Amino acid sequence: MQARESAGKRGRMTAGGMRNLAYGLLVAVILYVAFTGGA
Amino acid sequence: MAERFGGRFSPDPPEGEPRIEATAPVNPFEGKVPARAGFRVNLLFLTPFPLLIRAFTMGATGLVQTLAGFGLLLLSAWLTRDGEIAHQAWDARKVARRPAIPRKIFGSVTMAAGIFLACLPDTGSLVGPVLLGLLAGALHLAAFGPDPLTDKGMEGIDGYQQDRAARAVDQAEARLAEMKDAILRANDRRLEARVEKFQTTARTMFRTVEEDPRDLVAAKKYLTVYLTGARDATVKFADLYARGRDAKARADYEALLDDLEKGFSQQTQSLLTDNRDDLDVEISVLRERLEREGIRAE
Repeated sequence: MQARESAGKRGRMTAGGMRNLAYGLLVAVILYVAFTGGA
Repeated sequence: MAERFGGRFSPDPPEGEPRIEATAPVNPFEGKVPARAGFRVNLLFLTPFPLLIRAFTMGATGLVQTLAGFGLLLLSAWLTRDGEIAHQAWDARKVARRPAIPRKIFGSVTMAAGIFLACLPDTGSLVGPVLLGLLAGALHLAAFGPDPLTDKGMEGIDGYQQDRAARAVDQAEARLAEMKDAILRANDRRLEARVEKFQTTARTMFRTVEEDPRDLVAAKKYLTVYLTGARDATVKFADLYARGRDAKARADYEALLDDLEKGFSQQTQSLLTDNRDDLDVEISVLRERLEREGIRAE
């Protein structure tokens, strides 16, 4: 918890933040392909 | 004259009345962790559904490719969910084998393949689908991480004993689950919480046995005989209590749970003391040897 807070305070991306970002992008990519077919 | 208020539960009860100690309420969330396979994973099941509609606006080849992609995306979501459940189980134990199938990694691969197939009909070339597939696979891996690929805390543990202990714990867990099912029929929230508290105590013993399978011999009676008895008693009690709300039966049942809980925690304590004795022997043997060889300064 301590490490997470200090990493956040220094404005750096935490491991959890990276995972959330990757997850958001993944959902966006799936939706993009699902609606447009990737074209 | 004012009369001093007092009763059984007051700090200073009147002469001759027993004092009843209030027990601190147990937090119902104690020892629980949020499920990893939650909304994030379940959303993966929903996102591919627009593909179903798109599929039927295409020619035959496109239809088949899109449907196959849709199926792979659902398979990926399913593998991811099971992988997350297995990962959480691995995290919860101090001694654990790695999962037999790396489900989350397979989930990443099927995700890449599914996106590739779903893109294929609309783009003429292979470049776009391949790139999108790789991107989705990499994002999946980054979002959910790889499965635990190593055994944990397995050094110096007899694999055969470990398997026996794991099997015994699985059966004991099944009995706990049956107990929980049975008490739901009694339709009483307080009793459900009581049984849950007992389960927490029993699980402490399970973890102790898993960590040191040699304890299985000493704990066997608790894991089989007593838990089976507790389950049977719970089944009978739940049926009886659901019909008549018999206060006497309820008191008896709660007393039984108290006794069982006491027995379980005492046994767990004595299992841990055994381990302590082992450690003491190990340390004293080594120290004696150091002393004999003149290494240890007095």
